[in-house]
Amino acid sequence: MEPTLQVESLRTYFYTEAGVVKAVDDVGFSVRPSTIHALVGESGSGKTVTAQSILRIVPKPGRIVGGRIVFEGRNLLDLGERQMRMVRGRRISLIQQDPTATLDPMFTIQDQLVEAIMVTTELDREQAKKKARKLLEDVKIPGPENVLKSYPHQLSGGMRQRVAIARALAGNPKVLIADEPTTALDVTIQAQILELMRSLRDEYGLSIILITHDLGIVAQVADEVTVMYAGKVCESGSVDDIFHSPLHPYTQALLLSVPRVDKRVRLRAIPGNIPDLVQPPQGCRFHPRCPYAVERCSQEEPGLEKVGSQADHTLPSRSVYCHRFREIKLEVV
Amino acid sequence: MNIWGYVIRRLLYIVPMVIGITAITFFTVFAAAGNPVAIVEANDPELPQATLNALINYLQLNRPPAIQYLNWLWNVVHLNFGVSIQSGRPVSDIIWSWAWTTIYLQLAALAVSVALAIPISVYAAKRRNSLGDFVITGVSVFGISAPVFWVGEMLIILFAYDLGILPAGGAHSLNAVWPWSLGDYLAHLALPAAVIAYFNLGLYVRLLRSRLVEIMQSDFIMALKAMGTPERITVYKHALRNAITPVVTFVGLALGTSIAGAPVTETTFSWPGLGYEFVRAITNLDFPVILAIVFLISVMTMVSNIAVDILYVYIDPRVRVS
Repeated sequence: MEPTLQVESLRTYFYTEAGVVKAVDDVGFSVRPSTIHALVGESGSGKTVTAQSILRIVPKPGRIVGGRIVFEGRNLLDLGERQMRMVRGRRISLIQQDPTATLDPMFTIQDQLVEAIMVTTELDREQAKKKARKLLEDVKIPGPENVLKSYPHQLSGGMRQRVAIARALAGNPKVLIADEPTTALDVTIQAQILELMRSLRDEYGLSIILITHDLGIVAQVADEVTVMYAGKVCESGSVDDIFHSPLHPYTQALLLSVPRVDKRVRLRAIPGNIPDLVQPPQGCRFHPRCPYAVERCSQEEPGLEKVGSQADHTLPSRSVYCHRFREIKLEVV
Repeated sequence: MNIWGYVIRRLLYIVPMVIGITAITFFTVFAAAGNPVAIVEANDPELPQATLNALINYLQLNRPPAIQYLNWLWNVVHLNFGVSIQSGRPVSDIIWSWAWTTIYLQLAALAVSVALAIPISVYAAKRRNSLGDFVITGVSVFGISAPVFWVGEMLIILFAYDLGILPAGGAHSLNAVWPWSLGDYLAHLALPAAVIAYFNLGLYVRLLRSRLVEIMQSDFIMALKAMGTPERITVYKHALRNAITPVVTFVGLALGTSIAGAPVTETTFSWPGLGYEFVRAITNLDFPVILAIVFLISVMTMVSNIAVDILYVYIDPRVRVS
């Protein structure tokens, strides 16, 4: 099946005084229709910048310097600012991490939803008011009338995140980018928001790009996963493939660093720190922290390799960037 | 919480504050060791001693200072501010006739500075660290730091002396009749209003620009951009609304003190306002006038403080809870 959104060798650099930060460097993955595609990685791995690049809202001094973002038959990087504005909110929209900061504190929920609806659709103010109410019902907010009249500070974090999701749905988008949507919420609310994401995928046929560092969340809701490290992709594949037979040592290390309650195993943190992105390591960016690294890893950058899916043969092939993935056998306890 | 209860409580606080402020002013003027009657005598050495003694008696200058102050306070409670030592006119008449010129000068300056501060700050914040931003920052800092009398003198030299297109001082020509000679009034208003506006403008731009820069990096602005919201709405509706609160405080507080006029600017331009009168009263130790103006400034400052606090409730919904 034709992917909904395809990111190809995307490069987004930040031109700071300290040097050029290669926050996203040759990143590619594709998002299929009605799936939740997780972008996983540590902080600083380039997940958020990838999301901002898709919408072309990278803050200064960042700039997209190369690649293609193919969506509905067009390369988004070729569009003019005016055309791009018709994509934002209407075709692709965004939910942010911090629900306390994502709404304007000065306006009521109704004001903000009506504005979002009027920006992204052709509805007039009266119709927009009705739609605002319906959006709140869609994201399962009890008592939408009261919430509409409220200011953001009068709502709980979970409620604000639901409002933010409702706003993101205002223009009936095809793709929803959710940037750590549950990180700032407590676990019960987190479960409800994830449930909501699943129902949006199933009922609206949305493709969701779920950015997270939490593998637990990935296991709960994602269909496909792209693992990122230091501005590069490590591997992509279905959630079963990634969890049960990781091909990249970084993925394995991530899986081993998740605390487990079912087995008495020592938590294995990944040694070292995420590299400086102004002068990233030569060769594979993970090699200084990789237990399997050999001479070649520090000299030559690994290219894209495609392999068939172990878990499900109807899925497209997996991709991995590692010199040694065929030689080493990675185990996840 | 009942907002009116709060307002009344705040208003009641004004009474002890005003008593304190005027008492300090009274005894400071007293301690300045000046004798207003000596100044009257110096101005007119021909006056017989009997007249001067009568004046001292009339002004009760021979009574203990504490009694003099309490007398003054008692009269103020009865809205009687006494008479000016220099002119013999009732102080309330003097203030009434001079306040109006000060108020319209200040309001004109305020309107100009706010109207310019908003678009200039938005421009500078949007093009942060560009050449335009640096020029704006430089010009604003200059406006804040350059002495107003110097800026005033320079404008007088340029527009009144060299170009000869604007009058150098005063509020109107001798033969001008309000409101038929509106052009004449405006021409006199231009330079002093420009000097005050320039100073305020610098303050407002510094404040508003830095707030805007901060707000424009916040998550909700990013969220609005991600919705495809036009920049006009993002900047002028959302960013500006969030950035404007400290400016409202500034404007509110400035309005309160501006009733005193801008003594330096008014003196530079011989503007017949309260500020000019204030300076004159101080030089002549005309303490009924000094006290009345100090009284007016302190009351207005406190009232505008309260007004700003109330206004906050309407401009920032978050204030309502606390």
